[in-house]
Amino acid sequence: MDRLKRFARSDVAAMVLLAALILGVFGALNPVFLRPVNLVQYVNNGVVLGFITIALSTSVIAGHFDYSVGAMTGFGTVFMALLLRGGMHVALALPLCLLSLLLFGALNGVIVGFLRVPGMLATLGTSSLIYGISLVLTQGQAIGANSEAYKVFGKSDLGTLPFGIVLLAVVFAASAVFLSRTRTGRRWYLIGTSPESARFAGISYRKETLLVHVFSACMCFFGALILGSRMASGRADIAEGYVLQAVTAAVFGGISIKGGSGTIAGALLGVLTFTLLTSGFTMIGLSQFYKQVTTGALLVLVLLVRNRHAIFPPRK
Amino acid sequence: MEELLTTRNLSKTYSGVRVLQNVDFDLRAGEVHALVGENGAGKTTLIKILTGVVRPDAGGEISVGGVPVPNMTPLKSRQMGISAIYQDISLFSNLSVAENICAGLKRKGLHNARSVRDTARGTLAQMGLDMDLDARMGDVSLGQQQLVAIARAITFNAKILIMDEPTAALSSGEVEMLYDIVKRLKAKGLGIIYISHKFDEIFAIADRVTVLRDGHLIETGPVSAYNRQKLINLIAGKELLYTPYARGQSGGERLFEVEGLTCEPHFRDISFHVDRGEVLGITGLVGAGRSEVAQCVFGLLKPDAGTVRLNGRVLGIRNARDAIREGVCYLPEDRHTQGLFMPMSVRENVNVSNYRKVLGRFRLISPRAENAAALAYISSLSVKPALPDAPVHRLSGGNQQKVLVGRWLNAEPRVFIADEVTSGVDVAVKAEIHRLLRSLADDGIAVVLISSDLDEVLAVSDRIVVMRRGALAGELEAKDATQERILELSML
Amino acid sequence: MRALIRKSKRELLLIAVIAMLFVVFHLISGSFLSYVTLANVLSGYAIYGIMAIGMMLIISTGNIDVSVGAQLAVVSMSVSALVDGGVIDSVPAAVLFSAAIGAALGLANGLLVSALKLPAIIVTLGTMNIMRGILLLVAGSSWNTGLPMWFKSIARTVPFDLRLKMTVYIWLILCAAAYFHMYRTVSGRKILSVGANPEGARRIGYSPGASYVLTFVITGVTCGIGGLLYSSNVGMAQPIAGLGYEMTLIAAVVIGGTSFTGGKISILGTFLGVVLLSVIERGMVISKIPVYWQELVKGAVIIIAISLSALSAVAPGKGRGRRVSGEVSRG
Repeated sequence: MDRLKRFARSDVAAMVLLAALILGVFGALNPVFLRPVNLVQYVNNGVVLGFITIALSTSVIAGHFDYSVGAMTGFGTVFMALLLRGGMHVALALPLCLLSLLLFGALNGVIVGFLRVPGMLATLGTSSLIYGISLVLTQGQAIGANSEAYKVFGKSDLGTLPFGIVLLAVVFAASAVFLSRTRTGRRWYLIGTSPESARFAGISYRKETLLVHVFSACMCFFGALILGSRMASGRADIAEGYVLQAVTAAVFGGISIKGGSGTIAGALLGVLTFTLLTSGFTMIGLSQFYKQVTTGALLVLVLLVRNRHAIFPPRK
Repeated sequence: MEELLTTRNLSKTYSGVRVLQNVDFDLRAGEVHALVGENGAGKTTLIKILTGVVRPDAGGEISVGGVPVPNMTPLKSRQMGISAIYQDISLFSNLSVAENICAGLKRKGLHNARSVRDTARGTLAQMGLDMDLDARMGDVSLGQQQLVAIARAITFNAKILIMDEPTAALSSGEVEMLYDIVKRLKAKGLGIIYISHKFDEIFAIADRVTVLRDGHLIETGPVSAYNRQKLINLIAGKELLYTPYARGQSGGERLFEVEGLTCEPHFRDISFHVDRGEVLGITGLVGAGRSEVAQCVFGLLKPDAGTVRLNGRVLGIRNARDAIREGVCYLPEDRHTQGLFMPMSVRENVNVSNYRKVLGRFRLISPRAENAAALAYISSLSVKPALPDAPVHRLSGGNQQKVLVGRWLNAEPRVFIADEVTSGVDVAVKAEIHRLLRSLADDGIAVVLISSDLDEVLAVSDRIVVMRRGALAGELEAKDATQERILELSML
Repeated sequence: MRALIRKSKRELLLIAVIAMLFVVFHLISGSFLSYVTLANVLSGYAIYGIMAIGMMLIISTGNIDVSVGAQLAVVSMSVSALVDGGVIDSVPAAVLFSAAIGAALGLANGLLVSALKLPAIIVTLGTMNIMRGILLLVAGSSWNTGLPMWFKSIARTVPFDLRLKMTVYIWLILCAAAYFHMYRTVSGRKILSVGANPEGARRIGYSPGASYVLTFVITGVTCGIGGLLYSSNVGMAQPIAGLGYEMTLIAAVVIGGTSFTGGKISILGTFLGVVLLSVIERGMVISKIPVYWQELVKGAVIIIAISLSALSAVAPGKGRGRRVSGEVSRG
């Protein structure tokens, strides 16, 4: 009973409520919204954001902030497109692309973990660098990636569901287990809660920071895979704007900016809610710009509500 | 001489524990009044009350310059001219010396660099000092930073200065400078409360001395009426608070040995050993380097020289993880920032150092095993409330400490180093922890107890190592040791 | 004298690097070492320079503002709309409105960050998108051309026949104003104190929150002036103006030696940082290096600058006998 009560008051419950509300409101405005075919489509649209949010959330849980997730995803699509255009087989291009992103993740990890540069600043820098590399490689253009084998990922179904959703589900399950039931995952929570106590508990800040950023890069690889194959192209700025959305979704989903708390499940719930919201906006014909304003406003609003205790201390 | 400051009946109780009892203290203008006592005697509490940081119990009075001050606050305290100088000084490393001296003075609008420098120069002149006013605070030595802190207090027209171990970070030349400054300030009519453990200093510059013990003011008198031995006797007192435990035989198998351990600038050439069935107590004053020795053994500090042996085998510990793997466990001084993960649950905190024990299928952590481990320690250590999910920050100090102890017991230690393990813990839990430490020793674990509480050290240890300023001052058998002897070794 | 040199190591290094770049680009392109180029370098990045002054203060107090580009765009669009509508009809009015609108935006950011204790990067991420979104909603993607001559001449005049646009002079004046504020007024010293030791500042009665708000407001004002000069210079107002500016500004500030953890600022360093970035861009243009290399170079330069700053901070603490956690242990 206690546990149920605690859940009911939690942020996750609030998000479930919000999602239900959104479905209700838009469903009422236009019942077409609730057709299963469409719902699957909305979720499918949110898959890339889902991967990027897992990446960002994990780095935040560990007390850091990987701002370069958008740039890394963009680079992933670019690199894949280039390799494919050069005639390389998909089966070889994929691991190479993954490796390149992992290296970028390692770069982030070294700058933040070994040089002790604050995560936000460091990843702002690497974001620019990676974006720049993508621009140079593409010469500012979009690169077509017309390999049929590649397009499979983004455009075909596995059973009844689009491949993207299946992949996200698998990666989500694996990440959730990883974060909550492996020693490394636990250590990330600990570092995010109190780096000093973690030190006295024998946890290596450098090693864990490196690992967390590499993990984030790996998630971006999945995002790039789905996005690039869906768009059948690679563009440096393909993932622009995803960072803000990922942050918003993560905050929705109960990831604490201070680090050390929150779950992947919560984060993906945030992504779902967010995706339903934007799909709803599209359905009723609201322009792109309303989306931007609402996203920004919602982020600030959720932050205010979450931190209300710090702002308005409860009367003793 | 006029009375600058008087307290009557000052008491302070923290959750049922009386840390200060009916203290009648006074400070006269133009005098240096030394305040001595062991750690935990109540000196810090008294100072916190005088500076308004802590509210005394009802019935206590403070008067400044003959005027009673019913509700002291930090602001009022400063306005009345009381200024305390601590070790963690609020200095600004990017600003100049002059600006740091004048920081906080009410100024508006334009920053008049010249007037700031003039004021600073004036203050330094009063102190008989000459410093480079434009030097960047971050580039200046620790000793000089201390002087700047004093200068700032004077700029604020302090009439009463409280100095807490002011010479801790000073070179001998700087100490002489400090003495000069103190003499000058005396001559100007300031009253100085001087907290120190160094008898040399007390006899060199203090006029009167007050001894606190266990929250009571034992005696106040002119310094000339005392000598070192008399002071030690007063500070130590005669009551033994804890029942001594049945000791094992000493001279058993040597379990743990440290030889020639050196880590500049914290400590040098430290050697000690722990035999089977023994508890080794390490004591000494604040700053003696005891925690640093432990942290070095535990792999958090890199030593310059020395060896550590466990069961005869030399340990090569490069970091805390290696230490834990070898079975060396260290329970740090500050459980809030170094030990526990406050927002997390008891269960999570207990399992932190040994996830290997709770791995289940596929080498994943099994929540059931975690819970069982937590419950096991909750019950064996009587943690209240007995809820593995409870966030640790909601527990009382004693129970928090038990959780931390549980965590390190969970790590299957062969060497158990506890640093101020009973600080902030109530008497009943203290006794429990003492019993636990002895039973660990009986089980063949090398137990090291680092503590400033001499009663505790005498009651629980078999042998006692005293450290002073980073060096070994002496080693005693507990059954032959007395508080006076230990203090003598710590304070010389 | 030697002390002065020691204190200005970073600035001297920057001057050396800039000089070296001039030579390198000259060798590559054949025509870089000239006064004209220098004048163009300064004129081209003057707006960045102005906005970097605000960013410098924000970074020195440990915050970040990524909404600066959006602020520029908002002011640019609003002011040109007001000019069109006849509300603004003189240069002083234009300046006043720009500064006021910018200050209001900065105030919003500052209050959200300090009074509500929300992390700066996320707050400004949110406000940036709110601003951009509103701009695009209100203006669509139409560009407002057709601004009056007197307006366009604000930024474009070249007084004193030195080939330097008015923007450069405004930049220099604002640098001087910043110097005056930070070194000669109490509020400036407070900002420095808060940046170095927020807890210590609080203990002596300062309010770190108030100082943070001030840094955001100052940034808003510099973005406002930047917005005014931008639309004046370009001759029109676009909703997508200022895109990507935050990276350049952060780069310039960090390169210039302003520390993100110590309350240390360097007005000259920030100035040189802006000049350095301008030289890189101009040099690449003149050497016919394609424009998309610039982002990469900028990113690399930021990383190198951040790493160098971090290395010089980490080094003293490394090695044997390192203090456990920066705190005084009770021993």
